[in-house]
Amino acid sequence: MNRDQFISSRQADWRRFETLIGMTETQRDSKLAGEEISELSALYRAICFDLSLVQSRDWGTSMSRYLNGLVARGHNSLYRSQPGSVRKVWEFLMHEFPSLLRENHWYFWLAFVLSVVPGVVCGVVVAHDPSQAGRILPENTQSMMEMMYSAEREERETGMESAMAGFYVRNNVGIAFKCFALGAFAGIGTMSVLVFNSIYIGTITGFLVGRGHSGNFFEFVIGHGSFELTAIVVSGCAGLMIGHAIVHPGQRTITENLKIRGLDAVKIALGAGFMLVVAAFIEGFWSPSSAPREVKIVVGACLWVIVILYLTMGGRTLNRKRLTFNREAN
Amino acid sequence: MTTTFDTRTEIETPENVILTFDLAGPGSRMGAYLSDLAIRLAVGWGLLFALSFLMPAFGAGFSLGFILIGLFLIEWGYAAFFEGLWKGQTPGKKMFKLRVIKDAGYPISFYDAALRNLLRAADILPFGYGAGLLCMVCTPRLQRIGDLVAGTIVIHDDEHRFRRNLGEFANLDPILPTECERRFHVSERTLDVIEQLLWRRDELPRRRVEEIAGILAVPLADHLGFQLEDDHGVSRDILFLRRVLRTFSTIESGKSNKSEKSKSKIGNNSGEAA
Repeated sequence: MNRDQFISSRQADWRRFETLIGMTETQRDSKLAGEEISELSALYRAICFDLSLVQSRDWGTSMSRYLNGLVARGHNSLYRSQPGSVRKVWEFLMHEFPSLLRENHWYFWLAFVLSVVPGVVCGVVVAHDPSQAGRILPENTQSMMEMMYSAEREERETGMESAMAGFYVRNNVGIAFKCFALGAFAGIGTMSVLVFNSIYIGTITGFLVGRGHSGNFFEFVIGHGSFELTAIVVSGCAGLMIGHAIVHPGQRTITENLKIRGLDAVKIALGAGFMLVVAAFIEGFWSPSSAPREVKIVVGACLWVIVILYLTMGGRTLNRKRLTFNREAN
Repeated sequence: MTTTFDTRTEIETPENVILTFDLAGPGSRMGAYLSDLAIRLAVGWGLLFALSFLMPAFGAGFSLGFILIGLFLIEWGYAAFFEGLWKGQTPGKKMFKLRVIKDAGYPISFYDAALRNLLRAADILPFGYGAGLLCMVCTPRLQRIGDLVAGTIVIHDDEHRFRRNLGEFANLDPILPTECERRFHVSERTLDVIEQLLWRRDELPRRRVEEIAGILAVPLADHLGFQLEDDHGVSRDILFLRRVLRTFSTIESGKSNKSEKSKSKIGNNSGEAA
């Protein structure tokens, strides 16, 4: 068969394939009939063969590029991932994210230590001698903090709860995502974000405790602190996973390793984002509310229990099934 | 086929076919990025503008919260959302005919899109995507940090058309073996080059077509041992090339096919028209 016989015998199939592939690209899969789908995959295999024939016989770049384009489009269509759904989002948040976090708990504990130790040290030092706070916090931040937590609750502005929630979503989720992304610099970026964040929060806490505002302060932060502080550690965990995959790929190449760890890491980071959105709404609406201090402490304690249960128990029943599923997918 | 050009990459599919992709460089990607940025800024301004309508209706607190969440979604969610939904294309990438795919050739999932776009926060450092650019220069497949971590590449997603219209040569005189002193043969690959040149005649400047035709025709005539006319008429080379196609493309193989072939243009549009 020479080139022209080849073209005239095959071009009908190519055009049919273009029509079908065009349909899959513009419509939903369900609109394609069963026979059309099997026809499409048969045509795809035939065109794969055509392409290798054209490549091996050196029948010119225009045909080879054309067929290359067809195969690429087919490849794109046939090997695409399942479309998302609300049920999948729910399953991800309730099962997949906590299970993944538990699978990678060593990164979580490392991030935990990095987030707790510097803060506790600073907090203890500053609580004993609030003047030391000047080393970390500028004067005007100090006076602003004091004003915020010494004021009576009733004086706090009302009606701005949604605005504050929106602000916390944008600000805190942004910080968590940055903390995760900087893990790409061998994990150093993530570590420094965690440590600096910890020092800052620890100093503020120590400062307010030292100045005698601990009641107002803990009353305010205990509720959203559950989701917020934990989520920052979780995003640090995800960042450290990326960093570790780059620094110590083990038996695999770095790219191979990232292929496996990267996806798990981003899922954990997205879970941290979700937790921070929850925290933002608690911080915006519940924490500044005028509920009595005792109620707030109890609710706050309950929220901590919920977070711990969520991360330790979430997805446990499905764990085994999911693991086997993941292995198959890989 | 070997990789001869460093902005191409080859991927072997599960069907053992080697697919070639043109990698997108920093230039076109920056163009797409700036287009996306313009869209994002426009939406952001739109949100701020909407504030004046929302404030009286829903109160300052709700309106501000709504807009801040909107801004957050534009900042962090825009690219991941579109790349996840549109199989690796944002509106800007669509404009510049770029597409993000996995380095194994298949489309990206939502998580891949989220991963490569969250890592923009690393690529953007220390300013103006410096780290990303450096990373692209250092990797063979022009990947920024987000691409490396997510295992994705950005490719040019143009449609390659393949058109045949041999009917227009039917009324030419074929070259006879007696006119040629050497071996009466032209390779398929050479014919393909001639075909491409002739079909791009309308897209290229006329002088340029003649120049290329000369470069092709003179050695080809020499190879065949065909005597080109001495006068350098404007269309001497092009006429010769057309006659070569007429002679060596076997359009005689089926007279009935000819009329169909002359009409058929295999390209993206014809598929939908059919």
